[in-house]
Amino acid sequence: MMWPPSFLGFRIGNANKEFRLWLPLFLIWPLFVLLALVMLPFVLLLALVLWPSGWGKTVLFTGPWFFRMFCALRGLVIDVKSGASQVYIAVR
Amino acid sequence: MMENRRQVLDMLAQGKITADEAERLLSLVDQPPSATPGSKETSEAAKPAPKYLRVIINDGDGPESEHVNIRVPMGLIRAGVKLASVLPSEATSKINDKLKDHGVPIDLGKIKAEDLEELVNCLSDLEVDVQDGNESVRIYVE
Repeated sequence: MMWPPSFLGFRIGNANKEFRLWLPLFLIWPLFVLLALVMLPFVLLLALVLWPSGWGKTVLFTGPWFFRMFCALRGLVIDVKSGASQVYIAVR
Repeated sequence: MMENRRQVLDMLAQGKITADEAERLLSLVDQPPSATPGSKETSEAAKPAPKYLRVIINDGDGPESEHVNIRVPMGLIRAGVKLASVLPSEATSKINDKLKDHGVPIDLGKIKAEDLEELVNCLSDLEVDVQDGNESVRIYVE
């Protein structure tokens, strides 16, 4: 089952300063659900209007595709160190 | 299975095999086919599906050294392939033409999810390990 990531860790800095960010993504899931519900009628209408041109299917399935991509990000780790500089991104 | 058991018991009765051999044969007969050790299906089924692509690059050990550690979920590749199926055909053909102009003769419309699963499963054997002194590059799937 696809499950969206719960946390986003972000760290960027060098020897002098560092910026850290730790986001509990599970707190913003309800906001995304609400936004999706609000946008749903508009998306359906737009898909209906664009269906003869062939872009209706794209409009209809873009949302689920983005959700799938977001869920697939779970487990992504990027850790790059160059001398004293570091960029760290982790999605859990 | 009953036929196989019957044959083993007949061979024991005729003295062609000993009791120990009969017991061993009966235990093999009673096992389900997939549990037979050394079978190709067993080894393929036991191999877990690859979940992440790892890239680890180390460039020396000093203070100015560079280290890269990347872990990419295979799900991202699968989700990326789904994009091709969402795009309309005219957009896909334009992208194919652009790719062809840049020397990449790929038809995005022909990439199917089943082919991708086979590719991902084959990637489970991928391992690149290059070492040159203090520098190393490792690419593998876990």
